[in-house]
Amino acid sequence: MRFPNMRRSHRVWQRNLDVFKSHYLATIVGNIGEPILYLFGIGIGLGAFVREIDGHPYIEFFAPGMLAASAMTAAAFECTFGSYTRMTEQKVYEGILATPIEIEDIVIGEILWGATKSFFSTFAMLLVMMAASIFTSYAQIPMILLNMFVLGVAFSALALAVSAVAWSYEFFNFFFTLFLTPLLLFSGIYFPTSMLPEWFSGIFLIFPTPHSVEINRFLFYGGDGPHLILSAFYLAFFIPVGTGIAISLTRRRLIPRH
Amino acid sequence: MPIVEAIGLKRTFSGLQAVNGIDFAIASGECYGFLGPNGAGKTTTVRMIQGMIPHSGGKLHVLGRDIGKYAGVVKERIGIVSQDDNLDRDLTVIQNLVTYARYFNIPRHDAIARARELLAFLQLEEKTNVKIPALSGGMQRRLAIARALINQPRLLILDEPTTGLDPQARLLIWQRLSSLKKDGLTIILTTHYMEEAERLTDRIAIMDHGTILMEGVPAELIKNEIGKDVIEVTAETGDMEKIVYLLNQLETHHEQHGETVYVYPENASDILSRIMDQSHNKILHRHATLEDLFLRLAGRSLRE
Repeated sequence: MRFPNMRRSHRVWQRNLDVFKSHYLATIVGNIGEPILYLFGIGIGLGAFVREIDGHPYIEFFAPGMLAASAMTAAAFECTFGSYTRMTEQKVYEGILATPIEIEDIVIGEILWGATKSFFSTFAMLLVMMAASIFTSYAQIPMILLNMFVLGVAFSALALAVSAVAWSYEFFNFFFTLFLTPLLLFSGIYFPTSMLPEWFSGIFLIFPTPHSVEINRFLFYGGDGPHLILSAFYLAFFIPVGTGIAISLTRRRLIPRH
Repeated sequence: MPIVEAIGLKRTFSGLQAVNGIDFAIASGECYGFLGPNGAGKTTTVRMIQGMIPHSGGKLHVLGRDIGKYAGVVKERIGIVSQDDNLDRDLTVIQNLVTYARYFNIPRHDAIARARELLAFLQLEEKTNVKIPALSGGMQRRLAIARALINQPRLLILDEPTTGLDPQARLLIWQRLSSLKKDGLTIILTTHYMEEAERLTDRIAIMDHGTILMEGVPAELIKNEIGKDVIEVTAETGDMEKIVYLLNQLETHHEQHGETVYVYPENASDILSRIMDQSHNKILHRHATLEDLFLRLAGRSLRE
């Protein structure tokens, strides 16, 4: 494996941005509109029954989690359906591989693109949360965006690894139903993980989401986060490993074996 | 120094031999063709030259470098038109070229200028801002050629450049490739159209089962292996027996396939008049072509 060349990955990222510019409206409705509907629908609707969690109104408890949920969903969609289409039906990767750009560059460009889409949706959601006065710690905005970008990178890498072994669009049901939905439900987004049996919530700690949610909540409201450093280390470890797996699986798919 | 040189080149796929130890050398400015039926190993060979798949054995140097080690550097200087259409369907015609130029790190201003030149050269100017699905098959192939030329390659490699195109579209591509050849570009192509090979290539390699059966200048290969003329006689069984008997007596080389006998005469007019004395069947006297040579080598029966 060659050490990635960021300029070449940037070329792949630019290609996706160019395409995005021609249909950004549809993407905005999907990636940003939907999480905003969830935020207010569940935040206010369920909030009427729940009142307070950890001293915060329910919608305030829910907001940092929802931000993470939208970041990971945006990345997961982009790097499954989007990347898979580019890799198989459209043969975009094949066209690119006829140039000096190599598989490592494509995979990293795609991961960064998935994370960029996460960034778009988290940024828009933050604006909405600020307008609705759910979020007021303005000084933390850069750190929150960084945290969400990191989560986007992690999920893009995972999703791309899944795309590299997928044999059809149906295959993604495994990923979304058996993996993404449990993570959305049991990572402390809708309710605190302390409600769950410890062994059960512990399983989810091997994935990035609960860590990102915890960091987000800390950045929103402060408080003491005993696991914050550990969580940050975990994410820093997860990204290169996930990316390496995505690269080798994509290579195995695109370059026929001897 | 040759532009491409292969010695004992091999490639296996999951243990199956796709290319089985072939040798060839392609000189600068030459148009070299790989001919053969489907599954002969042509595409595998050119994909190795392109650096798209690694070889399993032997040596392969492209533009003076070992492609196994320097694929990235070599790709800077080659243009590839692959068999599948892999134009970027999400982008317009001009965006396809400019985006591709960016992969080669060509500055935007130069890329746009070069793209416009190429669109004019391939008669696609009117389609500049059209998206790919709105182009005909011939236009898509021309755009693929334009895209392959965006980095001003020293070597252009085309895998079946006119397969599936109508005659007009094919003719335009042939004209453009001839003009590129005149300008000194080295071209490698694979084809199973003999006419394409005869029109464009300086030398050909006829492949089957992963090996090169024969290599050389098309006209010389035809002359040496087949001769100058071919007479085709189509006849019913009874007449056919008479004709074959006659040909055997005259000791003229011939092959019978179904209702047609192919005669490869040394003195065509003499044989022709003898056959015409014998029967009033369908007789066709023509020049020998690459197709005759190809079918002689690969056999006339349908292959699976």
